[in-house]
Amino acid sequence: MHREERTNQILVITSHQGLVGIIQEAVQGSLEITHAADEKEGLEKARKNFPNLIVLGYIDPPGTAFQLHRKLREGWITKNIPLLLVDADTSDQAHRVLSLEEGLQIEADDYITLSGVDTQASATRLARPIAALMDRVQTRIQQNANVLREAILDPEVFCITWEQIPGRGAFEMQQEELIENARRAAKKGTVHAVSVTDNPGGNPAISTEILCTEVRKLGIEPLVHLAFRDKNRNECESVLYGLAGLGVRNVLMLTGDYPSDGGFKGRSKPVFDLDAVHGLQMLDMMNAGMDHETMGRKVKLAPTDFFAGSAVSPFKATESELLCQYYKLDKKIRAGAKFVIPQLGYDARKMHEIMLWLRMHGHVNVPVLANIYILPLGAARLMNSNGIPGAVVSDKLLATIAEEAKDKDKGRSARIMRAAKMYAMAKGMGYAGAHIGGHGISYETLEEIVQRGDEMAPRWRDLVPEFDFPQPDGFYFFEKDPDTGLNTERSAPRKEKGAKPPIYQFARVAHATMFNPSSVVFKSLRPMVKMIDNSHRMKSAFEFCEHLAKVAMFGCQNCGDCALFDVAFLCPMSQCPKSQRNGPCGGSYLGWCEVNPEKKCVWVRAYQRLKSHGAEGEIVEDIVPPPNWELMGTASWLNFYMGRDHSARKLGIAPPETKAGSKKAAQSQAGQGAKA
Amino acid sequence: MQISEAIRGGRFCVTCELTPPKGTSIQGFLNAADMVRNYADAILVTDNQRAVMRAAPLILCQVLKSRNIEPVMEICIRDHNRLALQSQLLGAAIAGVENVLVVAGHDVLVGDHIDAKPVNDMSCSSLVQAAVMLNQGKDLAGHNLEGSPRFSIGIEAIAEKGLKPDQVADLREKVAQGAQYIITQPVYEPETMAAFVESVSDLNVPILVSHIMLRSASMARFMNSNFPGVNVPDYLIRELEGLSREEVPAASVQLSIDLLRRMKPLCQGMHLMPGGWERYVPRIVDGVA
Repeated sequence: MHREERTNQILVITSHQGLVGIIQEAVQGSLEITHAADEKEGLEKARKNFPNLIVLGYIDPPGTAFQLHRKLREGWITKNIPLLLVDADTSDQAHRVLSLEEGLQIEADDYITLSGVDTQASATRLARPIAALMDRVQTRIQQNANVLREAILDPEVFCITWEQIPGRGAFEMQQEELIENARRAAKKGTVHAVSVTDNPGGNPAISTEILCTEVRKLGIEPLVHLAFRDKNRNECESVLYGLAGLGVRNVLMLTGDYPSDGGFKGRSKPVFDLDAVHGLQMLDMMNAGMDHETMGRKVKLAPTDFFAGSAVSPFKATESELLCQYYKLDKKIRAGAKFVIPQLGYDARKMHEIMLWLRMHGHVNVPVLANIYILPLGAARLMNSNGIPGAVVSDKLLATIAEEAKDKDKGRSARIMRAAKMYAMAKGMGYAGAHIGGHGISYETLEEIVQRGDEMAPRWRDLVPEFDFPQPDGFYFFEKDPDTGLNTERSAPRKEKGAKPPIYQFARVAHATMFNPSSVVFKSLRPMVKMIDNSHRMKSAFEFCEHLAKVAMFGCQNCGDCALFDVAFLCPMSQCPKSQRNGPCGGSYLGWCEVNPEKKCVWVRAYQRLKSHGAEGEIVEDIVPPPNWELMGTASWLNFYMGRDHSARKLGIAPPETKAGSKKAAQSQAGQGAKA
Repeated sequence: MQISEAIRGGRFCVTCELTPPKGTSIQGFLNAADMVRNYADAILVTDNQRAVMRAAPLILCQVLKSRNIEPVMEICIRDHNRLALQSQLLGAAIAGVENVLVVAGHDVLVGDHIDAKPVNDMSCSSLVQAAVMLNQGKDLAGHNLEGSPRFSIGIEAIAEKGLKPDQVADLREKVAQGAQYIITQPVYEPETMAAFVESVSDLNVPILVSHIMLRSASMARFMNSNFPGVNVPDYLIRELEGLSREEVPAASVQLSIDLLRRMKPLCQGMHLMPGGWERYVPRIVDGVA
């Protein structure tokens, strides 16, 4: 909901009581009236309450109203609130709202003089300009409406988003084309939003956030991609506030491809401070009005109105990868994802699978935009060799495209037709829209796809056999429906074997005894741990030992906020190059890591370990918070016992009672630990 | 250079009005002057305009003169008696001022010193007469002067459609006394300007139409309610309605240009009153030319 929609309020700022009565009379209870009697109160209420309309009358002493009018017009928060200046009685020179000189410089939306003291006549005179300004507020709300959100949420509308690549550089043809595309899209009206990717492929590119504010100025809704590869949590929050302030409201939260080796003097440092689930949680808090503490005071920020979506990568060949993808999607939806755009792929059964999965898992109302990429031969070759993480082109599809490329038009009409057919299938399968992308695609091409897709949509089922491109032995969540070529509602048998390496068995036993708050061992060890924790020397020794042991067993990186319990005793900080704590990124291939293809994805291993005792479903249960960097470099076992890390909080382990008051002391200890 | 001579030379004369500072800092005034100097034949300096106390125009005219900008000094009968008015004029002449505009001034009640005593010792027409006498080397009492000014004297007029006979008579009287040109109040309807020009055609003096750029719809409505004789038609106000702060200037500049172009054939010059929007003067002057 946009800020302006939240209130139906007029703020009357005047020290002339009579005016308040006149306005009450004029609006006759249709609007809520708040009164402020002086400049300070007026400014404060204008900023806090965000009224729909401000009526400014005479304020003592003369000249105050003009100054206030200027502050309201120039203020970051108040500049767009309609402002009506009212001279209650022009015959009373000493109490004019403005002097002649001031009057020539006003920038209010309207100005009106009231004839005299007769309240009724004044109210009648005021009613019209107030109504006109309130109409304008309504129009502004409509103009300001988030077209993308409305299109995605409206079941009657098939939403079209158009993906653009920002490109590296500031004055390059890619940016020229992007802006030109956005301008044309804004003019023509088929497209609901233009999306701009965030450093695609892990390469540096011009900032999507800045381009998106430009796109918005052109009159079309932008969709900002936000990849957590390059920004830590503070930077994400900061960028999001900037976007909110400039009226950019749609965000697609993504893990992001790993940084490429094309950065300035080498590969960039991967950040991955948050994952997409955390990002969505943060955004949800921002939308609710974030609470935080500053200088010992509790502050609630004004709410933002972001509309956020996320991605899922269903084109996975193995059971463990696919299940983990859906587990993570479940978390994303719980964390506040309002729509989903899957990774691109050309498999009708997978397209159908995700819709069915959502329906079967209680997410009927989560809209999905089909990812339609207009696929030329070069890109198909690249994807076929796993050159774009998560994007799957099977050998059979590649062969088809290679054949088409021999046509006179080098396969152009065939690939556009393929996109249109995918569009038609998406529409038929109940997708909320299509996210269309492709290198160098003109607006006309996009319209052609939409038009042909719309034409073909009624007979979409006939198209399904043309998109039969499974991965060899690829796993599907549901069993195949031989009649439709799609899926039945029956889950496919999950035959992938569990794994129970000795270290896992050892870790589980250790966990059950030592890290179980209800166990005898835990209870008896706690006083000793407290003693160690209070002694600097013993603590250092302990930290050293723990570090050695955990490096040897788990490759520990000393984050101090241990997530071993959450990932079947695999360390996501050291074993996952993207530090994913809530499920895999979309980049794995046949179970192998996107970044280190010689290693298994940590989530595949975790799935197999948990499956060995039928507990793989646990992955979906808890949203694991991002590591608290305050604990970096401290002993996580101590943190657990002393109730400082997220696992302890989850299990309800309170910090031990101290004289100074438990919570504060624990916090300061954690702080010291971080400094040590 | 005298305004009346410039007009006689046959070109469309542009004057621009600047307000002296309230205080002693003149940097803002000078910056504004620099913005418009190449686009105006002369800069008019106002005299406690709208009864708001400000620095004396005489000294600012001298400053302009020293920077090779042609000044027009406004002189208002409200704040001086006949001694002060004449001595101001002589002082101005010594500073090199050749153009004066004689005005009546607003009631002190609309200004920022509502308890001030309005002087009004002379009428505008008698001040015009006094200035002409100074030009001829005599003061009001008939005494001879050592050296005399050569003022070109202007007067103001409300340009209304239905100009009343006594208003015409008043202008006729001032012209008879020696006024050489007329600057109107701001006019936003070319028809009104045409009617005004028609009704004073027999006076045979050049007319400059003055113009205040519209800052916002509310500012236009404010003028309609508070400036007698000013009428901004609704269609102009609507052009500005609903525009954001950033969008207004461009729209306003365009409105000004369109309007002034339509009035240009009716008069001999224009008098711009930018009031803080000096930066848009070049675009308007170029647009009207």
